Amino acid sequence: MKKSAASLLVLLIACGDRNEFWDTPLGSPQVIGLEGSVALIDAPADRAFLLRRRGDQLLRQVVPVGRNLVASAATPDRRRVALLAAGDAVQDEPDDPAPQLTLLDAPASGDATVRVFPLEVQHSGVALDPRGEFAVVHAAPNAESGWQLAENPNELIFFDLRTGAHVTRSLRSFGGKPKRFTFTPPLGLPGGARRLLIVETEQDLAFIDLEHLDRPEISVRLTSGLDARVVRPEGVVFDDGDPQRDDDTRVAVRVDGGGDVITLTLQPAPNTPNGFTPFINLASVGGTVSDLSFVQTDAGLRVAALVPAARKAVLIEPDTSRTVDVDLGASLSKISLAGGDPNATTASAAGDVALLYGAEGSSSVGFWSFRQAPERPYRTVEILPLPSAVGAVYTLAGRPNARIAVGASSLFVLDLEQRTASPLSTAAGARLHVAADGGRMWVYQPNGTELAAIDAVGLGLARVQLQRTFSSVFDVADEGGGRSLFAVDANSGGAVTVVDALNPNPAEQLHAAGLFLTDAP
Amino acid sequence: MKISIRAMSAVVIAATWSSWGCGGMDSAYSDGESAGAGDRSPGSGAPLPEPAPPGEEIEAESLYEAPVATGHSIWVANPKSGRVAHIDAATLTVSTIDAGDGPSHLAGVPGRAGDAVIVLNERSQDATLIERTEGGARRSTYPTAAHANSWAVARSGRFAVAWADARLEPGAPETEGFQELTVLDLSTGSSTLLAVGYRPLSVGFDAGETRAHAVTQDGIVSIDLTGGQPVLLDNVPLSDDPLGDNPLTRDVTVTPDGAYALVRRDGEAAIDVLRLGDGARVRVDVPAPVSDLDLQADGTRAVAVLRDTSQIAVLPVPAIFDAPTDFELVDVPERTVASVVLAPATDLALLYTNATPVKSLTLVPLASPAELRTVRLYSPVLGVFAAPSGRNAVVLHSTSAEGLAAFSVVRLDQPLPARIAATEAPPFAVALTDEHAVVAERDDRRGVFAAQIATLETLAVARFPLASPPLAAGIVADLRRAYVSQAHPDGRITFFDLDTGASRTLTGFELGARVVDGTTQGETP
Repeated sequence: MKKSAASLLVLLIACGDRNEFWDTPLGSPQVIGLEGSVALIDAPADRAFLLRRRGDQLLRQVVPVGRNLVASAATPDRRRVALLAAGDAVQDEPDDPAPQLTLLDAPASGDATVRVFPLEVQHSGVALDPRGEFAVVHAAPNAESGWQLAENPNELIFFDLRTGAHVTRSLRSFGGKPKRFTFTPPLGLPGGARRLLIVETEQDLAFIDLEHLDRPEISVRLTSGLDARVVRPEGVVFDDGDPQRDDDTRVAVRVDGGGDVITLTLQPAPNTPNGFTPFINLASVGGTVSDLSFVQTDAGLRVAALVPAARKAVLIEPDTSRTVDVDLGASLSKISLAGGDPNATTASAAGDVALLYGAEGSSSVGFWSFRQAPERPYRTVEILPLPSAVGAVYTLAGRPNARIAVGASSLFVLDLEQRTASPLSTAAGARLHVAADGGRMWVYQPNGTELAAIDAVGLGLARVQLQRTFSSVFDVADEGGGRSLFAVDANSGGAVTVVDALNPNPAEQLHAAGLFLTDAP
Repeated sequence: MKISIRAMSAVVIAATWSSWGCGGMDSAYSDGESAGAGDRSPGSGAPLPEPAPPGEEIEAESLYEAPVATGHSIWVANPKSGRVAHIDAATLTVSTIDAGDGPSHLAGVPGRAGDAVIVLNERSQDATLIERTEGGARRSTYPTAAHANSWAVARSGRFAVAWADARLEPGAPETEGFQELTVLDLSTGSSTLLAVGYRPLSVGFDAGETRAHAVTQDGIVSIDLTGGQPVLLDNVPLSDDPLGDNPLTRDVTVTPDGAYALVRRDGEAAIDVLRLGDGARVRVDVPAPVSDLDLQADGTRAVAVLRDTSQIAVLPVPAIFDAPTDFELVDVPERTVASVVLAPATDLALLYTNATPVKSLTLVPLASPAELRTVRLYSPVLGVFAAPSGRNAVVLHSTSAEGLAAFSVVRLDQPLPARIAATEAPPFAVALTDEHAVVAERDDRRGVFAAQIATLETLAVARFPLASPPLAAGIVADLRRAYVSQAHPDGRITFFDLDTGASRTLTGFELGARVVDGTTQGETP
């Protein structure tokens, strides 16, 4: 199809004055599945197409997204998308496209609302709050293009998406640059519940009060300064503790450069701008930690740390740094807590079983009943060998005790409660899309025409043959009820095939093609 | 290095307990006398004098020394970073303060405007006085003699003496006399180096702080503090035959007013009493060899234990100097006793032995010895620690061959049964106030570390496992918090709420001090 676009280009090249859009390669447009639509980013034309279905109609909304799109982010509920455009590299004319942040609010039905926030200087990264209340524009050089001409890596622009207000501030730096952002839900902190942004730099942590952006951040330096060793944060988890208390919010940090887990208790500090200060603890776990989670055990709150090289998990008591080793019998690097409320802010709301999976070369998963592990660390893990290594694990909406584990040529529906693994064989290179409603999964091969619809509960399988090739699929809500599968071939000038997702009927397919070639500037 | 940490700490405990009249240990470490007042706050305690087995290593080598507490402040030196960590026991916030090169040995300094400590900097051969005030930390530096590793601080806080305890340097050659000590006048900022006798064993001050004295292997040297600069006075020999007197088999105890010294020698049925003002010496003969000697905190009475005859001799001080035969002998019938601890603020002498596996503690009211009482215990005694009020005591029991250990809490003021509490590892450190006791357990080989907290009024005991080997224990009484510092490369201390038992551990003193919250930098440059 690229060839078609090229032909079209040749055909039109003699048409005189024209927009540079026509000279821009199509590249690999980005596709974002939303709750009730699919967004196809037509970057050369500085626009996005939002496609949704209403009955037999395929509705289209065209949204300008700015020049030179460099980053995007979507909320987990797929209702809000942030698109960051760098604008023209050289701003020598007043009308030259300037840097901007575009925010799309895409409801389950109806047109998306669009908000545009002009930016004064170019930036390369955007982090979007999972709750959709805040966005942070920052520097995030990509491997291909590197930094913008000049960027202050510690400058952050905070957008309060509830009010539209924005604040620019530079993080206090001790040589590090931000590399990861974690937005917390409201936490019970001294002075009242509020949300925090935890910024991981290359060697520090920073806590920023999202409700009081005028307050200075709290910087936690992870290097002792006694030698040249650099301790890099590699991920944070948090727990709000007892809802009735405001002094027991905890954050755990896994680090690169030592076998330590750092736990921080946010305790009252009345005479400080933020009203709290981190109380630091280190726990030695005897190896590099690959994943962390707070877990609620019968002995109280613990941090569960996986140490794949030692084939063990370590339970850390955050108040005392006492540790208990749990022999896993396998090298497992990821932890996924079962059950409970996925939006809960404390481990006590989660279940008491965790799925352990995914380490290089490991073809096992583990079901870990951690409740009694601090007192009885033996016989709490059941290892389930699988035919192939698990590369990714998906959750299913509405089924907190189920996980989909994807291997090289198979996938497994894991029941954490029953400790079963139901295998489904897939062709090599197949991809998986899990419907947001948790009802079904779609298995397909990019650039093919065939799909397999798998019922997530009964594992019933149905084949769906489409009339056109596609590169990715999205199971989205229809306006007025029902769900549709959008099969998108973004490389062919913007083509999409749509079928009913709940009762796919190959005879009833909707098509749209050449989207990127329509309404050209 | 690892062993030296324990060995160093081991001596500190003897100083700690005798400073505060909290009893002592029936061991080689009872040899020394008080290292001076003000070196620790009441309720603090360092490791017990249990030498590490050869080759034993601390699991996580700590960069930090054992802490010192002053008021609500807990201070820990880090020789590697050159800083002293200050932990506010009320808020548990940490800050670090630059000291000299290689800060190690700390002592609290009373009488200053704020909490203050003085720390020896081993590599830069000086000492840093650190005072915390509302305005921040104030530091001043004093040159000190080489090898200094111990402190004696006067009760007023005006004078401090840095000296070298050869027992902390076990590999030192015989030609190293450790004879230099440094007298610091913290009111004038002066520092004076003086040479005393061979290998000092203890340093102290008289009650009026007009003199300091150093007990050495050559005798007791007095230092005049009344002039503008400290001046060496005479050396009072402890024996007429200095070549025949083995300094390693004798105890020397100096009275609080610095006027007299009492000398006990192993196997000798006599006590020498020296008048330090003129060097006069009197021999007090007793019916049997003296196995232990303790001096009452106010210096008015000394008790000598005569193991072979099951007796104690109660010597009035200083009257015994003029009337060496005029003392009271008290029989302790049918009891084997070899050691004595005088309970402070009472007239009770606590008698026991750890030379043989005896399971009892005998309490003798010195005012009415006939009313002696024996408390039955359920394990052999290792050592006894009396609370400051003298109403309670903690008895540590010997570790059995099977590795079983325990301690007992004894009510001294009431004839109640002793409360024994088993430990899972040998007791390593004890801290004691009138209300609570903290006993830290430590077994590096098995990785068993814990703190047990006893409520003395109710005799209730609760055990709290620790994450790493304890180094020292203490109690900040008015905050109702206990703490146990632990060996950890980044520094670790666990605080316990004495009312609720809730614990909180702080690990990473340097990191804790480097939190920047928008108000302070944390570190004081």
